[in-house]
Amino acid sequence: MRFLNPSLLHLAWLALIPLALYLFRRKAKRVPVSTLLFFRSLAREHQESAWLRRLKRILSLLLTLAVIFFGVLALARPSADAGGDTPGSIVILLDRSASMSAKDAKGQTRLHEAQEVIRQRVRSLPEQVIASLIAFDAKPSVLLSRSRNRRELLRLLDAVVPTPREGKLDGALAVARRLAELERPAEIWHVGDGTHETSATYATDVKYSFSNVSLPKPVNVGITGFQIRKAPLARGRYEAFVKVSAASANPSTLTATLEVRIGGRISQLREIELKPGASSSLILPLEGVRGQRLELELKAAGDCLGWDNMIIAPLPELKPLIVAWISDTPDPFTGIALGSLVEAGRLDIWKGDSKSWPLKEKPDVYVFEHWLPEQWPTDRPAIVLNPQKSSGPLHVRVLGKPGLSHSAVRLVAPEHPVAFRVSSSRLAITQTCVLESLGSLEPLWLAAAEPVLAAGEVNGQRIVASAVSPSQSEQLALLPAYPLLLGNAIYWCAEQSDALSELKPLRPGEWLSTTGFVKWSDWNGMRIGSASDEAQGSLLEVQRLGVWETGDGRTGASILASTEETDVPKQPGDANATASTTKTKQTWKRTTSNWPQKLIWSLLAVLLVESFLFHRKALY
Amino acid sequence: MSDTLSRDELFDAAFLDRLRTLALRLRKRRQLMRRGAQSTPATGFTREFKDYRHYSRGEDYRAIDWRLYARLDKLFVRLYEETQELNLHILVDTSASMARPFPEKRKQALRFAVALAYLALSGQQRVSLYSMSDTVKQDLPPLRGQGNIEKIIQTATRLTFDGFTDLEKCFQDFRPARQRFGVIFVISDFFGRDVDTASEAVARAATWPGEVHFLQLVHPAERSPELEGEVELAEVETGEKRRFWLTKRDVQRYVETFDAFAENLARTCASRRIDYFQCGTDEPFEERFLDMLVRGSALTGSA
Repeated sequence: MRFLNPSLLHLAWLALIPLALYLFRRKAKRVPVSTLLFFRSLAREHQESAWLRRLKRILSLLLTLAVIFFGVLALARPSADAGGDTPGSIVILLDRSASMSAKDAKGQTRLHEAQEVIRQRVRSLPEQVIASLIAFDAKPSVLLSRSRNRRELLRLLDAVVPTPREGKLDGALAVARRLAELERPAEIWHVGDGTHETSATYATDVKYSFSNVSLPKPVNVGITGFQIRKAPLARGRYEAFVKVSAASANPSTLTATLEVRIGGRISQLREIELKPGASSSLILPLEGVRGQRLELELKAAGDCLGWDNMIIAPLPELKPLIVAWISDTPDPFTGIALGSLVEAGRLDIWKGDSKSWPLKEKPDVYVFEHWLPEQWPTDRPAIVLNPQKSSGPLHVRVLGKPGLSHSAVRLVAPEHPVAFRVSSSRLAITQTCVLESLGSLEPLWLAAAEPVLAAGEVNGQRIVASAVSPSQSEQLALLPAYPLLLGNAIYWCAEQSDALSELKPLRPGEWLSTTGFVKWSDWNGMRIGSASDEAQGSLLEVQRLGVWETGDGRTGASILASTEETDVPKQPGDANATASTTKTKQTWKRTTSNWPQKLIWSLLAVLLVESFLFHRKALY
Repeated sequence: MSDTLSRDELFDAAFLDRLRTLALRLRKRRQLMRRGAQSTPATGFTREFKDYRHYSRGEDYRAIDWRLYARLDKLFVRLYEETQELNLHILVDTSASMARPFPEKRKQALRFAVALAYLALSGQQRVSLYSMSDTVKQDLPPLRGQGNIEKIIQTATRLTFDGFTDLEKCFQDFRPARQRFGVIFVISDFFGRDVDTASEAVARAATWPGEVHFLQLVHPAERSPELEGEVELAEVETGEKRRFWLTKRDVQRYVETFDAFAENLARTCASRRIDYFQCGTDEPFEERFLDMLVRGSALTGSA
């Protein structure tokens, strides 16, 4: 026998109180009276001899000590070793990813089913077994760590709700194993959907079992990809890229309807036929103005998962990227390339030379051509074209003409400057210079087999370096693609700038940089509602699907778009896991310890005896 | 605690003054009522003519009214008023319960006894003082004259309160002769061996020749004891000890039992034409003494 709360055994000192009271008890007050005539008629008279009275006092003391003894023992929760295959601890791993909100015909979610399975198993769990509860989606959360408090465990279990995120088992499993190894033998109960091993043994005395609560016959289609962009050369027109997928467990080909609504009005209806496990990509032309809400709703008969059926996004405002082009000797080809982008309405060029440096206002991207500032700007991404000296993270060694010859360049003119051999932290460029960077540079654009743009991040700043000088490369095959090359570099650099961020939807679990309250039009899988969240500090973890709007007027979308979650798994045919659960329950039933219960009953019995003897029978 | 009380403890000068005033007032009332309580149905040899009666053989010739014989030619004898002395018998309970644990009871009892004696002596009546516990004992022979009050006070202060009460035996033993006809005051707590002892004793008291008054002295703690919890009660008369676990409810039941006892005693007294008067030791003596006299007694001439 061992005690689950041995620290409470120290309460045994309470027995000293009745002992002290017994030893230093007050003698009965002796009162002289004129006559006992009227007292004799009272029923509660002590008609006993001194030795009997003493015996009863000792009996009373013993009963009181017994009450304290049983009470302290009950509080310390003694537990007999259950024996058998009862584990020392269990770690419950509960999947709460988006797919766990899939509902069956009765409207019961998979998570609810999982909770019921766990609840039943926990009820039959011997009291001395330590339990931990981990709920996981994209990341694990330890809700209860190593506790014998079953009530708390069940309370926390009931509080778990599905989240619109992808489920990542690996991280959660690693945490569960760490917890399980603290008290061996241990078991990890993974309850969720998907196709996992039903049982395994990870390490000595750490067993893993999986209870599958997938639907037996799931039907699901969902939107697994979404992107919105402004249509080129058109005002007020957008293009939405939508990918629709069907679950591989679907029984047959399914016809789904994609309803497109802008500003609450249906603008398009598409019917899509999807075979089990198949996907279909669509590009939807959209007309609207900034601020209008785009709703894409996918409808299919018998669909069990609602979260992946809806995309809500605001039509974004496309602000042009501001590019500061600083050069004392600007290359006309660079000017032509940037100008073509300006005409498309995508760029706004601030042109300057070394005298205008430093700039009073901040652009989205710096483009330095044939020139580098003495003080390297670290606040914005930078594109460096043919640098002539070292600055910041770039260490340049200018090569004299004709430069470094390179026989591997398959070009007409050997002096054509092309970049070659981009390697980590080192960039060698023919003709013009040799660059060295403190950070890691990788090829961004290849011409033939060689890179012409090298890109990378140095201390969090995006840098693109190039040695292509179009004015010296009329015969270079890639010359016509130079605007595209430069535009690509600019967009890669400015990917995280505010001008482009509105185009990129967030996913639950990502962080939104804002302060104060964020209003939501959120999709709960069935209907669109309103909600609000408060950012802690300057960040808010996105936990909803739908459209968000910050206090400063920024809006954006949060989408699930997960192929893994849309592919709702199917319950396997065999019921091994269930059988395993039953077997475990039966084994534990035999070994369940109810010592505290017995002690409490003993305590109550002693109290009743004492009450009967000293109150009912009036023994004092 | 001493077994006797000093004279000053029993009486102070002011109290005796008040008693004298009271006695004068009562004497005046007696004079107004002339024959009052002292006249008896018996005929005697006083100078007061009472009635005529036919002569019977063997009667004293001297009583024949010869003048009437001359007129009516029949023999009549003259009957004269006979005035008897009124005797006051004061029985004081001297059992231990009258002094312990509440000595106020003894003080009150002796005050009543002495006050009654004073009243009687001032009315030229004979006063006898008895003590009763397990048996009745005459502590003073019949005394007459106001000058004997001091003797009575001294005897009262020397009374020893001890032993147990045997009301039945005392009441049986106490039987004043017919020539000692008068007023009998019994001053006691009337706590006997049993709850019914007092009532049974009343039946014997009813046969006493004269007017009987029961004065029950009770301490407030005897009527409503302030006891709670486990107590060991020791009876002062017998030394018997009993343990009790008393609650407020028990105390309430005790009070009810005590009240029933007093009420039963009062009812029995009333049915036997015995005056019953209860006095608490916490009550002012003079007021209660006057209250008792106002109720009517041969002693005060108002019976």
